[in-house]
Amino acid sequence: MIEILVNGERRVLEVADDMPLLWALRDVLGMTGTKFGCGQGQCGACTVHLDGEAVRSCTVEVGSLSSGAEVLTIEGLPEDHAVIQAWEAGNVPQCGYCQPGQIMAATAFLKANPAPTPEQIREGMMNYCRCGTYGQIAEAIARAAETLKHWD
Amino acid sequence: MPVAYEPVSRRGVFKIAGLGLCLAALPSAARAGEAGGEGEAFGIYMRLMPDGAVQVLTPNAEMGQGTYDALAKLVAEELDADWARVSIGLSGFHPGMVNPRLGQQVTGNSEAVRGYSTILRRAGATARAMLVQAASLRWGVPTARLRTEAGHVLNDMAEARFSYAELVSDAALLPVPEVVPLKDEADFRLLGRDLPRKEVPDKVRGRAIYGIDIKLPDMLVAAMAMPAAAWGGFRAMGMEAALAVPGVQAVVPVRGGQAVVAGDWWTAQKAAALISFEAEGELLSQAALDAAMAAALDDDDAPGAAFAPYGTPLPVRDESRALVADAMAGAVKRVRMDADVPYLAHATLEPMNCTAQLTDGALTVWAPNQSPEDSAKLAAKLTGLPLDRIDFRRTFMGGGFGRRWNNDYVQQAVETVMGLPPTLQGRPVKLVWSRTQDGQHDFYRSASRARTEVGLDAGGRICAWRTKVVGQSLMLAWREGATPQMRDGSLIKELPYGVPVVHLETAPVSLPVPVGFWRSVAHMPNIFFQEIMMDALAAEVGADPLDFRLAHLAEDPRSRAVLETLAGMMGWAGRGRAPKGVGHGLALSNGYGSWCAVGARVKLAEGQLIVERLWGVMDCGLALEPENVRRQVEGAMVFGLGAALDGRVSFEDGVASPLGLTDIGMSSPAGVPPIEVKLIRGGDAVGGAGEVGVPGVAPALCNAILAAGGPAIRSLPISAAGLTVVV
Repeated sequence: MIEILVNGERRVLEVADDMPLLWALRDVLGMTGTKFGCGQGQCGACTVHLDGEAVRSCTVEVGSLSSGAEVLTIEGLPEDHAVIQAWEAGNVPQCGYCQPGQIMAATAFLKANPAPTPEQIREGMMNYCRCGTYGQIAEAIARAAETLKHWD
Repeated sequence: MPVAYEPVSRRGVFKIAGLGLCLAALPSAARAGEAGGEGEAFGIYMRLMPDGAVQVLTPNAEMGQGTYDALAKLVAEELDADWARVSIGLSGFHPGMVNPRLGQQVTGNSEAVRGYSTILRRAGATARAMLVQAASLRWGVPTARLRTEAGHVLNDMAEARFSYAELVSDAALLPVPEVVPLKDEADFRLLGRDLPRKEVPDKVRGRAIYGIDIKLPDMLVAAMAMPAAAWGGFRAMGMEAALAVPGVQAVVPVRGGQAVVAGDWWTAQKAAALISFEAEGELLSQAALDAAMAAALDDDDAPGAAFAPYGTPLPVRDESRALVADAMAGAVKRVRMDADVPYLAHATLEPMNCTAQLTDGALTVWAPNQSPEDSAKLAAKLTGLPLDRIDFRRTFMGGGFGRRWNNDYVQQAVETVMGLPPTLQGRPVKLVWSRTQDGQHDFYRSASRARTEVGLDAGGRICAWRTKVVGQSLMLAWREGATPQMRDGSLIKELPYGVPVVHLETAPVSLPVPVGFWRSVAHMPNIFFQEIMMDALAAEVGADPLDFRLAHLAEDPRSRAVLETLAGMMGWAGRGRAPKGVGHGLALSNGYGSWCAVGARVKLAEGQLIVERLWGVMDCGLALEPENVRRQVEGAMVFGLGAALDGRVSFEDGVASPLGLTDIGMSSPAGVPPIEVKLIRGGDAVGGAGEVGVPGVAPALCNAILAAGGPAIRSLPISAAGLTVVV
């Protein structure tokens, strides 16, 4: 049994230690915004923030979490978050399945790279998209960076 | 949750609990003039609610191609609805929602808009006509003096207006007009322009419900145990051990394996790993599959058929062969080329999954699925229930690309709930595959080989073209006993170039690999074979590859236009001055009622290949949503790029490899160069947009590699030609 903070709320998980955080979120806590793509840490569809860092939740075992660990999922991002708005303004998604993970990866990426160059975006965003929306994702990140810049 | 299909009365007026009257079910399209199948009730596609809100139920799957919005706009445009008040639902199976071009309710072949356009537009126009009639009666003003705009009927002379909400109950009582006019394109307010997409706000907040996200009261979750091999009989062992795992509630034998049922997927899949399989009999490996394909290509007597362009009768093979042999004998030069493409995986990012619930003699299914009609009928057959007791619902789909045309995973979910022990009967079960299973049990794009011989005359023009293609037949895989036809994945399509004598033939190869439709289906291999040949021919006669193509497209201005526009974007005229090791290549990539050309610029250095840029030009006639069409072409090019560079599935004792998402020919974010797509318009009819960008990428790349001084690549993927792809 472990108590963690998910999107600011205390949640108690009574699951096997080896259950990945992904499945605890989806099947135990019923939060399906975080997607299962590969279960092997390759695609990034399951990206969430763990204590402020982007992680692939399919590779994080619940047993490895420390008590009080802070998890932020797509459901916990503010409705009007600059990254979400940039995604919306750019009509980025096609099938959309990878996009919650892309957005979580992008928000963490922008924290580390508030004024990214196109090359940094290309090298820093490692989440796969089968529909091929990479061009639109890069544009949305650049747009979000512009918005966030004015908030500083 | 998506709006699920609810059966509606065919009467003009009916009550929805608590909502009062609405204008909902409109009658037969067949009576309303123009096209439309007999007895199609197009009222099933839309409802105008008492408060003026419009609900559109899209008959198609939404898997990233964007028809969710596009199809709803067809209704809203003719209705002159306020787009902000239009909501869209995903249909399940509905017997009335047959795509007229496909003969059933199925999403594929880039047929959504082409198939449903007329009936959806007529649905909107009919409702609009009834609202105008209602207003005309209220005001005592002829309908000709009234107009509609954004959910209102306007009487300009009296400066009066009614909202649709004010008219809906009157309109619902009126007779349904037999004939309604459709708008001229010049009057379009919604179509032909870009608007925010309705599904995007939910998709970017994690709220859109995909099949894998279904949650129901008392729901159980199943993981599959399946043998590693993609085909063949097997014997399962270890079910008792799986059932003994704490948390596991049932183990049910289903199609292709054992479904392990638990409260969560992690527990279920750990238990499923305890089940093992023993293959019954020997399974083929890649060398044997390759040998069978090679033998079919060499065997001129192999069973097969000759094909002519669409719309012409199938020629008798021997006669067609004789004609081309005569023409070939008169050629000054003959160029021969063998080429081949491998098996490919779909790799939708959302693994196969399906949810089912069997209660009180009724089955409900929630599935990300492209073929609801086939799936619902399969479910009826499996359960023995009448079709009207099958409620087949759909969700958003994390990619489809043809994979979800198949319903193997639907069958597994249905068989799971049928086989639940008595204590669990009636509970819903969500069945989810692992990524590895998704890769091991795909319906793969068939490998295929072609032998092409082309005769050139004294003027350097093509005088005869002969191609034989072999591969597994997709039509036969889809429908037992089907006859191969032009859509068949193993067949070459028509040749776009003006050539006096053409002979195209195919020999389906009977092999056990499960094959299916894969984005762009037969176009990808066949356009590869055709377009690398065109560059080889141009080189043979010392012509520029663009000029050589244009010289054979005198009768086809739209093909010329996409190529010429592409050449302009690429700076084709100046490509001869490119630095050493840099090459430009292009390919014509027509299909699905659209004209398309793809260009590539590559750099070669010491065996390393860098794809520097890609360009695409699309002429799909009227682009209903220009931005989405550009994105579809771009996305299709990314899809085609990954396949061209790295896509290849091989089999060892029936087991597919590779399986990882990152090495099955899926473009990585850093592996995609800048892509520029331009739309041009050469006609009015709306062409398909989702697939046509795929096929041109591989030949454009191969032609560019050759131009850069690299090898002549005749076999995909490109990475197998000894080039290291650098990203």
